[in-house]
Amino acid sequence: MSLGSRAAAVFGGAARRAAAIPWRGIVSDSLSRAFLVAKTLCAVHVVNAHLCGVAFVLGPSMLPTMNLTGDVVAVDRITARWGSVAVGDVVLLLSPENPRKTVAKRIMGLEGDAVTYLVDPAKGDESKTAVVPKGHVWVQGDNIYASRDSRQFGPVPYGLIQGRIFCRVKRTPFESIISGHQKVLDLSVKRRSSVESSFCQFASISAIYKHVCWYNCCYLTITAGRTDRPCFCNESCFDMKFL
Amino acid sequence: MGPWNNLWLFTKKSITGIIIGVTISDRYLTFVSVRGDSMHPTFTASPTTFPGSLKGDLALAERFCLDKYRFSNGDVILFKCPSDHKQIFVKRLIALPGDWIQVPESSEILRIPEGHCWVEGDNAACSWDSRSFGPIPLGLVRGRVTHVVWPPWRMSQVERKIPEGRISSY
Repeated sequence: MSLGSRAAAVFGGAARRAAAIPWRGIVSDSLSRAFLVAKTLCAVHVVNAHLCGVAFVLGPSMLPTMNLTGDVVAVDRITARWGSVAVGDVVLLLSPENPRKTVAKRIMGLEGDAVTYLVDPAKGDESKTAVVPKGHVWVQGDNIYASRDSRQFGPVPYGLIQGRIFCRVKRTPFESIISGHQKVLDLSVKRRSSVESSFCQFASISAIYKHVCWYNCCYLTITAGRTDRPCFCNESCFDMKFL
Repeated sequence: MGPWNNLWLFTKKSITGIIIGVTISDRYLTFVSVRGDSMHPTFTASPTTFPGSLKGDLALAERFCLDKYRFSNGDVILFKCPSDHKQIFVKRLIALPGDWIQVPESSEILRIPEGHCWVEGDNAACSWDSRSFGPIPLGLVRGRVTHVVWPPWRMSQVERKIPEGRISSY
């Protein structure tokens, strides 16, 4: 056979095989599968953004309620959108200083409330009072020694709140976030010389290299032997617990 | 069995449509009806009575800008009202974080703090904006208006406009 006729035979065979493949079926099948994936992603987005979302919270500003190394929490979006967030709730909000950062803080005052706060507890007992304007809330971290909150940037507009944290995921069954003004008052820092047993319930730090001062005077973390800030308890902190 | 089957199919399709519509409206593009005169003549407000409310401007807003919160001076933006989180306002963004702005009607010069912006309406006479409630956090911004899509004789792109001589970036 000549070269031309051999080439024609090869191409003819390939064209016949290509025509035998059910293109329409494959295209419609893949389109419907892609559409199914798109529908699933849209449903995930709707649930996450409008009903209940999941977030990862880390940092020292909500110690001892939240872990320093991070907690997976469930965020309820409906309460925040409805406007029925209450004092004592832990909320997720966009930081007024950087809109790309989401922070978790506790609400200490709603619009119209007069909030009294310690300006800088590491440097003395000075306290100020502020009235929260309409449409704003006052937020503070539980660990007031290491938290940038309304004491620095003032009351935040309610519109920045993204959701209310109602649940923390642990390896054991869910445990609900401490919500409520009473417990928050127990954790507020006052210099005392006696050990507060209420502190024991809230410490949830699980990494073994972190030490937390069990006296209710400071919520420091001493990581691997290095002190982040001097503890000024009246008693010496030799009772640091190894967690 | 026939009508129930059709009803079930219709319900499924409409739920799918709603979910997809909500996702697109939350993440990519949305339509916003302009009420209020604070952005005249850029937008013409709709009268509050029906059927006059169909005559107001319908604008297209994009949400891609919310990914990195990068705006330019003079953009028209949507944002949640700082004193009432359920209301959405449409105003023009005049100054970005770090800019110095001269507040009109007083000779004070204000520096826009980090993470905040200054918004003003084009119709200065009846606009409730940053001149009353101060700079707003960028986290309240919900989108950027790019086009007017209704009524057909007002279809156009929304231009960027910066007031002369009132802002400085140093």
